[in-house]
Amino acid sequence: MTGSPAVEGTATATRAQAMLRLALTPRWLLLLAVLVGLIVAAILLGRWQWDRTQSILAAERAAVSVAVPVQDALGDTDAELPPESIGRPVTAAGEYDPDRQVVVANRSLEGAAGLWIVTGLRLADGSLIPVLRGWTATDDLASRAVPSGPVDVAGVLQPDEVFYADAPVTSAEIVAISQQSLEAAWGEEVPPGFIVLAEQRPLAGPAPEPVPPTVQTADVPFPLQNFFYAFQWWIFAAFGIFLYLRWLRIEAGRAAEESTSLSG
Amino acid sequence: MKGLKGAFLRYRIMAWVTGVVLAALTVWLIVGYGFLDYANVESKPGLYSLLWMLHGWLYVVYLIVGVDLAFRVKYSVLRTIAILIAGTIPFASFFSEALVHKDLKARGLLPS
Repeated sequence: MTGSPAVEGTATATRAQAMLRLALTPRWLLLLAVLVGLIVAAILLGRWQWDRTQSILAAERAAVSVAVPVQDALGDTDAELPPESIGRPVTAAGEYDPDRQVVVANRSLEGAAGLWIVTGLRLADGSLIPVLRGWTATDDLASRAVPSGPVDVAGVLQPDEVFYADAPVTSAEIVAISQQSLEAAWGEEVPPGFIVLAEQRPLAGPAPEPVPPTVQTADVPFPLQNFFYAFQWWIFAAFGIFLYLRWLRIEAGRAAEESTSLSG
Repeated sequence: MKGLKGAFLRYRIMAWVTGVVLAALTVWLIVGYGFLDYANVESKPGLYSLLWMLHGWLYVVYLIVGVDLAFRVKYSVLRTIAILIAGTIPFASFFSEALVHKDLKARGLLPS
């Protein structure tokens, strides 16, 4: 291929035509279909890892942000908790409603068996916010007592628990904390998500042991694994395209060599 | 064939390095999720995640040297794909390396 530009141009055009002809044969169309499927999958998987990275970073930002009144962090009460509110520190002022308390069965704290206490906090506007007050031993009835009088609470907003959605609910006991099960237990509307209590004032008498939130907290390391996996999937996608074109070129060249003896 | 010895050596090294890391991680995964409660993020050691990340990048290198070798020895599309996928299946890269080695010796491309 050391001829004049015109000859070189013709050779390139011929090669492109040969590649196109080969690409349209059934075998190569099948290969193309398989490769396109794999490439689309790789792009989507990369996208998924990228979204994971972003949501972990968003949760971290939420965790380090200053506490806001809980009403500001809850979005539309019919929908899910807004993503930027997950793990967000919140405060609330109100009174615990003694008729709005359930236990969550079978929850352990640092290996000790027991249960969780969820109590509805009645705000000044009349709305009811579920507060996970903490863990108690199963027979520790004293700590379950609902505190009376106005309280200020601070904690972390956590999304509904999504497991055991169909578990039976009574007015005194639920299996997983969710808007659905709390509304069934209490017969009253509550927002999605709940406050994991960190601090309560005043705190009089025995009280449940506060539990650590299960959402991401401020000290999570940068999600390097998800971040790299995102790029690796995209590298694989690009690699697939490169391979296809390279193979096509090689095979088209081989076919041309076999069918003509003009070059040489 | 020019450069083939080097290309095969590179592929051989990557097949073993990627294969050993993947095999170790597979055993670690089974033990970790089976007996050490790795489903709980708290009990998953940083080194474990770090090694998976390392395997991801090793595999990228494996792809490059694998394709380089496949092009040099003119492997078919299917055979090339099989070699590349072998890097993601535990223990498969050892077999892939052995098969390639045998094939290249049989074709007289490598000294037997």
